[in-house]
Amino acid sequence: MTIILDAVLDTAAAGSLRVALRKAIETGQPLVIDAEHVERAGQACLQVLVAARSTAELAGLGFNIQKPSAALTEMTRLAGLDALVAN
Amino acid sequence: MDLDAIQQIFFQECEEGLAGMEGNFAALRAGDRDAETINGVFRCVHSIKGGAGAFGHERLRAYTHQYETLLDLVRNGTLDLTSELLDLVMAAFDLLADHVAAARDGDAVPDDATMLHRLSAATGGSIAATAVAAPQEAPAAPAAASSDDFDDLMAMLGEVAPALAEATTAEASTDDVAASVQVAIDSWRLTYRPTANAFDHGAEPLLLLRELSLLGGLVTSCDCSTLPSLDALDPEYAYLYWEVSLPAYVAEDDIRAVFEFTDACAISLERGPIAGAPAAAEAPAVPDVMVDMDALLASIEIPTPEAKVEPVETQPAAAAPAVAPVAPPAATPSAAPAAMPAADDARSASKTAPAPTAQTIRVDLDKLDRLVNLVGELVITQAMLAQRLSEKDLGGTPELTDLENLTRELQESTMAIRAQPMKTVFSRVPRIIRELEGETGKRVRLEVDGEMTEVDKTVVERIGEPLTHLIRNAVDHGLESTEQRIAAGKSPEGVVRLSAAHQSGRIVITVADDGKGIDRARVRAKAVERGIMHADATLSDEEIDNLIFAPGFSTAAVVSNVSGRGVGLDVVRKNIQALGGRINIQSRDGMGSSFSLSLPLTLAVLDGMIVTVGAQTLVIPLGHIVESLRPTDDVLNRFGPDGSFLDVRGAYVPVLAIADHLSIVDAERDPKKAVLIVVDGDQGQTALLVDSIQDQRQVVVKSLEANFQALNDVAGATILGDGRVALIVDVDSLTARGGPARGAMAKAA
Repeated sequence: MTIILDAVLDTAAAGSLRVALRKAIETGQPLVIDAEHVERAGQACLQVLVAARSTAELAGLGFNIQKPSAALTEMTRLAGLDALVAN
Repeated sequence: MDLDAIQQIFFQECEEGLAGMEGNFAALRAGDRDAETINGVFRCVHSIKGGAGAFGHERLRAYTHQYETLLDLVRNGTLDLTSELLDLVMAAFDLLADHVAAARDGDAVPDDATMLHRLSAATGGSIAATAVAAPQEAPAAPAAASSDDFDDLMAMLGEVAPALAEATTAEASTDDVAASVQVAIDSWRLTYRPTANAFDHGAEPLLLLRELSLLGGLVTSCDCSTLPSLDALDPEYAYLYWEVSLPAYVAEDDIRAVFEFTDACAISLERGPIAGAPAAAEAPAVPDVMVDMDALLASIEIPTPEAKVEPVETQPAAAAPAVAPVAPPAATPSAAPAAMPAADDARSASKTAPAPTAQTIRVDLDKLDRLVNLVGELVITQAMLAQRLSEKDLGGTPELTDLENLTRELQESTMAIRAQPMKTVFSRVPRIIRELEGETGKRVRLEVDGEMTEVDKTVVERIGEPLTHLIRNAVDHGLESTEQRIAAGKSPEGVVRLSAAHQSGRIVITVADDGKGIDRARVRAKAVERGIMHADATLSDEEIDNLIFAPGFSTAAVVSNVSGRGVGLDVVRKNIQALGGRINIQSRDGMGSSFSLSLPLTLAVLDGMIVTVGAQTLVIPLGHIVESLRPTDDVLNRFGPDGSFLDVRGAYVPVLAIADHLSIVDAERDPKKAVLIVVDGDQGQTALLVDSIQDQRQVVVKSLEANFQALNDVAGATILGDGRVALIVDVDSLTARGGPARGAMAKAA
């Protein structure tokens, strides 16, 4: 199942992102996250993504962030979470 | 106080800081390489950076960061402050001033791409030399980075860390590598733990990581151990915390300053080897270090599913069934008991630091003017009271003396509020000189004197433009080219002298150069050509010099950016006159020119001699007075029907009857029956003829222009103790017109 991330992943966006990811995991399908359009990302959404990845992998589901934008890559690098977007 | 007001204070402090830096540069340029001088420059840039970050001026902050990085390398001795580097540092300072002005005025940010390029080239080379052994592995990116893109700048700085990692894994065993790795290992270790409510009010903890990254910081680990499963996660709570390693050369204050504006975090900062590495002193051997670098690099990685998911999963497994989303925040403090106390200390330390905003307040200028005016009235009333009491033989009452002292003190303090040192204006001049050097190719040394001379704020604000023009004129027209100077046997470096001094209730600002002086033949020819004067008119040197103030006059052979448009000096003169000032030129062929601006200290109090002329009481400013005497026959010489000279120890001084010029009737005209007061004016000495001297005291100057109208030869007025108005004589104006004696002397000469 593919989830397309919004351009702005600030704190306000974390709640809806979490809900969307939970629903996606509940489908039992591997997750593909399209991060091409992300322009801004904060800690709140990054930690949702990390938690989602852990939860998905515990459930035996694939979790793959595709085409991470430069902005997202930069923020994961800053946060020491490079592996989140590394494939 | 709202944010705008605080920001205004920030910009005020920027101005002060920039002015202070200018002073430091003057010292550095003069060869003073004192560590404190360089530190002073660094501190100022650092302060501006902090404020810029706090108020969201990102470009200014990015620029100051790069500037500060270079300065830091200079102050810690990594870079030698050569004259070329000093030129770069000073050029960067000029652009910094532009940046600050743009941020303050909301103007377009200046194009700093080239300067950032130069700064990073100077800085990047040095960092590379320190951090990695092989120069070819040094990051080339800094030089190529575009300043327009803030992210590029960050990436540029981020290059250092990967380069370091490459160097350590490469085949290298030299001492250099050991030393360079040592620098990185023996670095700052910072634990940054945002509190659970770190996202409140739109705060973003990652921005602080970005700040740290700009300082050269590298996240060595991101701890996700308190992060619950997706189900239990509260998206508005912060769960992550970080270990960050920062280079040893970064100042502790700089690191702590990153967290200055937030309470929503706990930090602990210590110097020493990063986690898992041996103590710095015990780790000289390269292989050991390489092992630890592996540990370091491994720690940067997010845990693999096997390693990482466990803590994420186990914790909520225990907590989730009972408490769901509330548990993690409650667990957060207990998860880092060791880090918290140190962080609390740091926070309380930052809270006890003195607030910089408490040092100044902004007061509306009108309020100050009203205060100054009221104090002036108080002084006058006090004088009137004193006179009344003296009429009743109570003049010596001690309370009256106390009142006089208090009034004077109050008056001086009030005046001092409005007064500002000329330094405010003078501090901009070095930059103008530097720009002119660049534009004209001339070498100029600036000498400044009397920059602490205080003058009313209005004068300070309005003198800047005329002064700038005179400086430009001095460099562009006054000074010769380097080749011409050498040919004339002068030092290749021209000198521009800028001075300010108080002279009898006025401030005299002088701009002098040691150039070629005014070419009077050329000025005259140009004036004839422009129709300003007739070709056969006879003019004195002084009159020819004054032609350069004629509207539309310019002698520049080529119209340049600097001057030569012919719109300058006449405007300068008008501006000075509008301030109630005068401008004078002195020029000597081949020796240079000097422009003197004489300006009133508005609302100033002046010490004056109270004299009687006929039925009038006048005040002669004490600063002009050389001596007073009652002449005898042998020192008086008649010249023509009206003129007479006073022989003052061999020098002839024209005698001028004030009564003639101010149309005062019934005044004494016979010098032998009167008192002569020898004054020094623009035109030299003159003996003013008055009936008698009453007193000598301080008087409050009242503007005639504001209260009545401007009068020739009168500088202002004051109110005496008996309530009468006394005019204050404008000595320069009065003596410039001279009278018959001076005219006769000029002809005789």
